[in-house]
This record gives sequence, C-alpha cells and structure tokens, in this order.
Amino acid sequence: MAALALLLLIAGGLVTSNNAGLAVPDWPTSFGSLYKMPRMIGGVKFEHGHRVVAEIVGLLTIVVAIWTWRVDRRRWMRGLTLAAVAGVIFQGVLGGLTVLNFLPPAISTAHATVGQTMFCVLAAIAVFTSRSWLEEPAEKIMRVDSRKLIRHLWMLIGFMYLQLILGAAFRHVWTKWGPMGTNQWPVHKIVHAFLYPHILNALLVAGLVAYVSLRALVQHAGIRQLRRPAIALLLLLIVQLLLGVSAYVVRVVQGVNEVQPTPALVSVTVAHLSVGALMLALAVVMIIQTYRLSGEPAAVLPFDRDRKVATA
Amino acid sequence: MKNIVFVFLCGLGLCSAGCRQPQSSPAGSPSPVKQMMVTLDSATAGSIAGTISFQGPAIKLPAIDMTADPACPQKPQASDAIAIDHGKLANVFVYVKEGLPPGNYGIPTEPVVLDQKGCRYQPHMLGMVAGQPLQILNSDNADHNVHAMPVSNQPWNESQAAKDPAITKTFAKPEMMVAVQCNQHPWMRAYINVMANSYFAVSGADGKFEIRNLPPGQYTITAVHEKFGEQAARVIVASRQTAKADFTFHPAE
Repeated sequence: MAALALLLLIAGGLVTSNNAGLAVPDWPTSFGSLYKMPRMIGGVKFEHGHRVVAEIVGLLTIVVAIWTWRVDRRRWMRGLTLAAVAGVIFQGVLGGLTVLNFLPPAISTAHATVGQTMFCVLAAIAVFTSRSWLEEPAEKIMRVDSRKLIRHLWMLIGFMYLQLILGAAFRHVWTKWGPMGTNQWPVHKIVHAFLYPHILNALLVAGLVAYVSLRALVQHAGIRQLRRPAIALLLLLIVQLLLGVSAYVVRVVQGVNEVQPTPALVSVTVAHLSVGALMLALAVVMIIQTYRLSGEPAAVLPFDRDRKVATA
Repeated sequence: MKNIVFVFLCGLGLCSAGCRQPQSSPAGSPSPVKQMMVTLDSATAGSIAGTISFQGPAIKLPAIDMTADPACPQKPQASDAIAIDHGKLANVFVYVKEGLPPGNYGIPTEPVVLDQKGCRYQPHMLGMVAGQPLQILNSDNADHNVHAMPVSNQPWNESQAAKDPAITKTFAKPEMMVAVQCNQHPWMRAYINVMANSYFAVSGADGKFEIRNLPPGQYTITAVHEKFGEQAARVIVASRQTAKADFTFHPAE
C-alpha cells in the first residue's frame, strides 16, 4: 500500500508537471460520470489516471483499517489506520477543492503536502505491521544516544517538511500565477519568494541528512533497522541534489522559453519530488525504529505500552 | 479517538461544501450603464494605422510537438507566441489608452469568435469589449478544455468535445491579457484583451494594424506583446485622415 502511495505521488507530480490539473473540469465526477472511463488522451490521461490510483489507494486504506480492527489487538494501531482513512478522505477533498477553485496555490500546496504526509503514515503502518517490529531486536541503543538521535531526526523531519512546502509552493505558484498561468508574477519574483529559500533549506537538509546518517552508521552499524535507512538516505541525498540542479535548469533556465512541458522537464521534476518523498518517509521510518530500539517502552514510545521489552 | 472523529466530520463537511459542478453560466453580468452614450460623427472620423516590426537577434522557439493526441497534427508545428516574418511582428495588441472622449461607447452584440483548429487557438491574440459575447468553437476532431484565467473577472474552465456546440461566455470587467489555455493540450494558449471600447486592433502576419472610426484628437496608443512587453506612442488624428504609428520591438532583456 505504501508502494502504491508512492505511485500516487508520482501520478500527482505528472499532473502538475504536464499542466494537466484542470484537464478534467469537474469533481467528484469525471466529465459528469463517477464510473465511466473518459478517453485517456493528453492531459486527461494524467488527471484521470491520478484520480483512479487515488481511489485504489483510498479503498486499500479502508480495507487495511477494517482488517486491522478485526485482527490487531493494539488499540493504537487501530486508531492509526482509522486516522489513515480520515487522512486519505481529507486528501481527496483537498484535491477536489483545488480543481473546483481553479488550482489556488495554497490548496494545491496543501494537497501536495498532505499527500506526502499520508505516504509517511502508510510507510509507518507498513513498519508497525512488519514481522521485525514484533520480534525482539538483537541490539539496543543506549538511552543517551537514542535521545540525541531522536532529537536530530525530529529536526531533520521538520526541515524536510519546510523543504516540501517551499518546493510545492514554487511548483503551484509557477503553474497558477507564473508563465504557465496568469503571468501575474514575473519569474524572478517566484524564484526569490520560493526557489531561493528552497535551495538554501536544501543545504541545511543535506547537512542534517549527512550528519544523522553518518552518526547512525558510525555508532549503530550493527543495527540493521538503522543502517539500511541511513545508507539509503545518503545515496538518495546525492541523487536528490543532482535532480535539484537539473530541475532548476529545465524549469527556470530553459523552461521560460519552452512552448510546452518537455519530457526532460516532466521526468526531472517528478523524479525530484518522488525522491524527496522517499527521503522524508525514510527519516520517519528511522525515527520510529530509533524509538523502538532504545528499549524504554513507556517513556520513549508512549503508545506501545503493551509491548514487552527485555531490559538491556 | 474523539479528535479522529472530529477530523473525519470536518472532512465530510468540506466534501459537501466542495461537491458542486463547475458553473457554466457566463462570467458575471455587465455593470449597469451610467455614462452618456458617445455618438460618433462618421463624417469626420479618422484612423490610426501602422506597422509593428522586430529588430534584434532572431528568436526561435522550439517547435510544438502535438503527437500526444492522435487527433492533432502529427508533424512539428511552429509556435505562435513569437511570429516574426521578414522583420514584421504579428499578434501585437494595439489599443487606444488615452484621449477618447469620456462616455459609454456601447457593447457590441455580435460575438467575438475563438476557434480551436489544428489544436491551436485561432486567433492567438484577440480583443473584445466587456460584456460582449465570446463564442468558443471546437472545429477539431479532438476534445479540448477551455480554461480562462482572468484576474479581475471570474475564471472558468469547461470541456468541449469534438464538434460540440459553441460555448458562449462574457467578461464583465475590462482586463488586459487574459490567458486562455487548454489543459488537455498544454501548448495551446491564447490571450484575450477585454476593453471598455472597440478601439483596438491586432497586428497581422505582415505586422500591419489599423484602428478605425476615431474622432479627431490627440491619443496615446499602446502596443502589447506577450513576450516583448509594451510600448506607447502619442498620435494626432485629423478629420478623415489616417495617422501613422509604427512600433519596433526588441528582444526582452
């Protein structure tokens, strides 16, 4: 389900990068129908395709919530899956509101942000329902180390969220008020308001990713649950920085003179947002695992009070 | 748990507030006529004519690839955003900015036509009077959506399948350079200039324009291009004479 949510993020990114957000003018119907498939050509292919994947993700989330309620004894887990259902419904409503109000940047940015948040929630559900979560970890982290790591991971997640909001705002203001939209905002104004802060914050995020990941690798190399996300974060950081530079070139340097979204622009910008989403989810998974591995159930992981943990 | 239910109910509330079909009614209604109607003496009317030129390094925009839709031309197409032919610039909107006697110049009842042909808007640049009907046709075998993005007027977005009947809209308030795009075919773009009167023209492929039936007087006319900005000129129109006003645009800095 988390993998499908990532596919949904990609589908959503394709809609914006192809300027297809209003190719289907109505909601919640598509061209007046709730079930008929329209001709999947041009912008409709992206917009309606995005809606179809969203419906599947929504249905799966409901199935998982019902299943959890039936078989999972953990009350907090039942609550989390119910929150996931509420979240996907809210996300769907945001998507509809942005279409019906002709893509106001604030709602479109909220839709993008909530989308990535839901991806993190579904990734967390995948971790909480995995076999390794219920097994006793082979190695624990000392409390003093775990608290520092947790603090830095929260900082990283916070700055990643800021990065996400700035990036989404840049994309949607460009589409609505910039050269692809009403042309109310000149390019330099959009770049100064959103892109330069996004770039500055990227340096901060990069530094934090490097620090947190290297610290985890140096101090906890033997713990698979931390080693793997740390390595993945470092590798994705390099990819993401390269994608960010490429996105700047295709969107700002070349894009102002393009007559339509080019394959290069679409692929680079969608890849950039997808890798960003993956990095955010990895940071969330890492902080969840750090809480779990620190061995103090009630004080550190307050919602999992019933889990028995052997004292280290 | 209570918080979760609250959020869920808020989501349902948002859903019911948002679940509505987009409006298809014309965008607003013309404001009531308060000014005196201006009557023109055609016996003394003059005109302003000129040529729009472009000087500078040739700017070549990439060709448009329409292959995303099999119903559109499959060969690369030249963009109409910058149309320069032998140094003459087309699709420049020229209008009378200052100098007209104050008053109400009336609202033409004949519709202005915007067609979708060859997966392009035709014309690319047009002018109309606030309150005048805009008739949108789809002469293609392709489905389009027509998305107008005004700032001062009410935006709208409607789909128009191949050979669907014409859509008719109006704009209540004057507004310059209202962008119109098709989200089905993202290369399609047109500009509509909503004016308070009919004293405007669009330069043709030869760069020529003419604004007719002007009372004699001194005027400021402005020429606007979507990429190269705008220029103004002061012109004196004599009775039954055609005043000349040429403009030369340069590449944007």
